[in-house]
Amino acid sequence: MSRKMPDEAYEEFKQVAGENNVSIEPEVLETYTYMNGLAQGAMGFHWNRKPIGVVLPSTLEEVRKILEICTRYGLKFKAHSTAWVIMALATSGNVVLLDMRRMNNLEINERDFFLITESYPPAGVAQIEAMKKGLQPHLVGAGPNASNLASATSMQGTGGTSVRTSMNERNVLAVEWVLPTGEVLKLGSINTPGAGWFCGDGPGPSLRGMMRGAVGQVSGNGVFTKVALKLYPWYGPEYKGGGEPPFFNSEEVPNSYLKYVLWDSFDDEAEGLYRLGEAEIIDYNNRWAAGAFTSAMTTSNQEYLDAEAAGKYKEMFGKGFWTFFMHAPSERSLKHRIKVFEKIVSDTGGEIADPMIFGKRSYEIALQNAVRAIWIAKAAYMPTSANTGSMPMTYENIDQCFKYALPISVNAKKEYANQDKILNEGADNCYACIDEDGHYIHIEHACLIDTWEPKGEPGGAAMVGMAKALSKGMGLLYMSWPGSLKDFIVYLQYSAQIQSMIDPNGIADSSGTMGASYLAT
Amino acid sequence: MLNNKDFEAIVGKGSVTNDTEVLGEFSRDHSYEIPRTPALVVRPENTEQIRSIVKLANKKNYPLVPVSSGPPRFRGDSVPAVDKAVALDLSGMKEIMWVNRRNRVALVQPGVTFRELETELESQGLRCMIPLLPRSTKSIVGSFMEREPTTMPKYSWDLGDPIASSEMILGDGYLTRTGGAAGPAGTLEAQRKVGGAHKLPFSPMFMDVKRIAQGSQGSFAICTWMALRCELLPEHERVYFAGADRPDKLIEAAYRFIYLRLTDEMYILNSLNFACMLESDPLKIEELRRRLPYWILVLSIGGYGELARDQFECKEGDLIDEASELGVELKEELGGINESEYRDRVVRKVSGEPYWKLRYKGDAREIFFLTSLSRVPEFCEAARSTAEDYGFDPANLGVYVQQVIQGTACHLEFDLYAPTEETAAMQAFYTGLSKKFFEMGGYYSRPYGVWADLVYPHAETFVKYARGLKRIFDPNTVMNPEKLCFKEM
Ligand SMILES: Cc1cc2nc3c(=O)[nH]c(=O)nc-3n(C[C@H](O)[C@H](O)[C@H](O)COP(=O)(O)OP(=O)(O)OC[C@H]3O[C@@H](n4cnc5c(N)ncnc54)[C@H](O)[C@@H]3O)c2cc1C
Repeated sequence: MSRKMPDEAYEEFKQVAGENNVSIEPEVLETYTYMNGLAQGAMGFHWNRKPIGVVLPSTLEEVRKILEICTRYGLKFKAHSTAWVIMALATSGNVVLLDMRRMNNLEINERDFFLITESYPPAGVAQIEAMKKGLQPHLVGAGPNASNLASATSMQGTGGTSVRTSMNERNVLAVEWVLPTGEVLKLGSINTPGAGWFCGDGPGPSLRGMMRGAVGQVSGNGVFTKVALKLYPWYGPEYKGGGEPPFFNSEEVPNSYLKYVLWDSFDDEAEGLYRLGEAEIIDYNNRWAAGAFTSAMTTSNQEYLDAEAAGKYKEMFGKGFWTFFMHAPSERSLKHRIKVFEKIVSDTGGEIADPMIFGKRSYEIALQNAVRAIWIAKAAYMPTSANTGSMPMTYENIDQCFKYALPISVNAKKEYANQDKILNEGADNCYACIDEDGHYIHIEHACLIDTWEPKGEPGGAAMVGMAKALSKGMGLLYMSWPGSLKDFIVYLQYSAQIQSMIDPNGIADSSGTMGASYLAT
Repeated sequence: MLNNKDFEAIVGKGSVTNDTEVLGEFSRDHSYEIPRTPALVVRPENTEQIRSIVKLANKKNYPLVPVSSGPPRFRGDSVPAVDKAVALDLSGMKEIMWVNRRNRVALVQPGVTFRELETELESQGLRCMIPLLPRSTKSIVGSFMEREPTTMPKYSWDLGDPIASSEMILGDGYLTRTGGAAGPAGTLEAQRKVGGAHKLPFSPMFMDVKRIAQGSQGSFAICTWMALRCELLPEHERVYFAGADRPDKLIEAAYRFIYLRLTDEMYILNSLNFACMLESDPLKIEELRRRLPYWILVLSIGGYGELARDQFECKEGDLIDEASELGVELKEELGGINESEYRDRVVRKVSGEPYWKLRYKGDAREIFFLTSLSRVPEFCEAARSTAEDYGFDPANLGVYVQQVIQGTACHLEFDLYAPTEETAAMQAFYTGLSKKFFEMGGYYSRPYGVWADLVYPHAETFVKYARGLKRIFDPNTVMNPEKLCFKEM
């Protein structure tokens, strides 16, 4: 298999995208080869697949032509937008990366509460534009820096505002999708001339069902050039921040309420969450533990270790804590929400803590998480690449998570912490948020690993251990895989048939998708 | 050659019939679909039987038309498009399999109707999403497999709602589950043992059969149960009406109220549809509509769950403030119908007999599509002028406007009321108006009958891949063949 771009293909790419928008220079390709990205820490390796070239398309037509060239020369392709996950890099040989940064348009339909985004606009940019019109898009936990299109079409899509702004699988409206064959598949209302982008389903069956499930295909099924996504109300003025990174200063959001909450037991926590969800009052929620909080509060690994040794965060947040944010369209409504909130927390034995509890930093972390989804990403990377990243996730209802899944994973984790294989940052480091007023919940059984600790296991042993324990205790696997091995295999067979249909020449670099394309080829 | 005995061996003799009268019921409906009599009507009682039937159909090439609702039917989707079809009548599968208050969820089989479920839910302090005054025989599973709009737009997060999980038998006979129920632990019981409640709305990994099967008129799979997300039943509830001669202000109000997530029920009707829902006699319908403004915004606010009274009063205060800012007058009585009467008869209710769309003229045809709420006036004007062109009295047009996907789009429905005898002229008008709406950009997201011929020629690549999926999931095309874009496959 060739490891070098054929000269003729190189010339053709230049003709399509323009001379300055194609690169095969080794030093450029090197920058598209490694990433300190999500999942890397967990798996314990640096990504090391070098693409054979990078092309920067600027239009749908250019994307189409690039895929046609790939087909003609037997090259693979991979789309790459804001690239917060390693799957945005080549995962096999002979890959041409499509760096989508020139496809940067964003349009807001204020009237009908949606935006139309090309591949590159980061969610945070869309958010600032939408806020000017009293609206907000969904932001995933990765933060404002990540492409909303990539998340919605090709990745996952949960975040702390999911309680109000849903999850990206469900935020998708019309879709413009270049298949590996170069054909343009449109989903939903844009199939009818003059209709608009307000719907992604039909006509008739919804082909959103072959675009993604709980997760997307990380470019294994083509290149998405445009997607319409729902927007949600934002009742405050535009968010304003200032100061120096990483600890920006924010202006207070009028008619809003921000608190930390701690519960003593999983049972009380579950009860509180059910009731808060049903009350339809929460606009942001996020469960964290001491490790992630310490990461967010500190700026270097040494600071982290000092803070950990001092122990005060662990003492306070060792059993996990919640950040809740509410913002209301009227003073009256906010007053009601606060009354309900305080009653529920008190009835369920929870303790409300002021976000200023550890000074301005802790307040800013809470607020900026709630409004800008900023800190989760930072917490995941401090100390350097310490979070396990792609930890087991369970995804169902509140009771299942708190009464079954978490006790199992916390127990499994103890063993690793006791042997210094992972950092002991308290009982658990579960990251969770309830979605859509508590109808379901997303939970990541995370743990922190000190990559410099000789006994540390960045290879993800703890992660695997927790996954095994969960699987044994409740038949759970990552992201709710099909319930039995037999179903799993059949599921993959159907996926493989779909893959063969949309990529008959096998040009998608889709080995990152764990199965469908492998089976197809 | 179709053999009754094949089916009798699966469901028993009493559940297979070729009685002419019964076959007749499944051969036509209130649409322009060409009537075609099925060869048999088979009534399975459980998933295993359905699965055996699908396997049999694959072996012997029997076309299957799944039907969950009882008559009167309207859209032609359950009228067989091919000869010698077997109508699978699932309306007898009536078990409400599980209701769970804590997780706000209910599991229902295909024959369960809205009235049956609402009664059960109310006893547990829950409510489910429900289309506008559905007919009493309407199946919940049938409605949501076809993405029927519901009356509480704030709970319509996605067009897939309110389905959380479901069980499907694919065209090739494979039994699969979608959503949370597809996940861990195997059986439903085992899932519940580890706390699960089948609430996750999306499916494992890279695909979602629920989405593919929804809106497909039974072309891919048969749904054998559905887990529905439910919401809390209000302890305090009030309906308000706002009337106007022109729709513009009401549209503004609907945009604003959905933005504020303030209202539970919310939709716009014209006076004729409003009157048809509340009166059953044509004369009384006439009388009532004369007392009404032409456009009516119907909305409700509710207090439920924690501090329900306080919540209700807070919403009421906000609603009144907002309405006054918008210059919209909210009333608790309209044309002699007061809000409590309306709640008793319409909110979370099913239609009395005859079904409300059949009351005014004895028959009706529906044209509906999705569009932006802001474009409703244009379409209404087009309907009026097209009606005049075809000699149809615009006064016999009912209108229903329903925001969906939390206000991102709206379902715009025109009900064309005319007696059955006027079929030829009506059909020409129906086809002409459908075409007009399409040309204006009305999106037939559920393209029944002639709408398929309008929509699909503009969706070539979509059709190619929809057909590809059909080949994967229903390789022998036994599932309701020849519907939608699956003609001549
Ligand atoms: C620290 C951290 C925390 C995270 N937390 C969360 C979280 O809480 N919730 C969540 O949902 N996700 C989370 N993620 C994942 C992240 O949100 C997604 O990766 C992101 O939403 C997509 O943005 P990206 O920058 O990764 O895009 P990219 O890396 O550019 O794309 C992601 C994937 O999509 C493919 N892709 C990109 N553009 C296209 C296109 N135009 N067509 C086809 N395929 C394309 C890429 O090949 C890649 O495989 C997290 C990631 C990190 C690093």
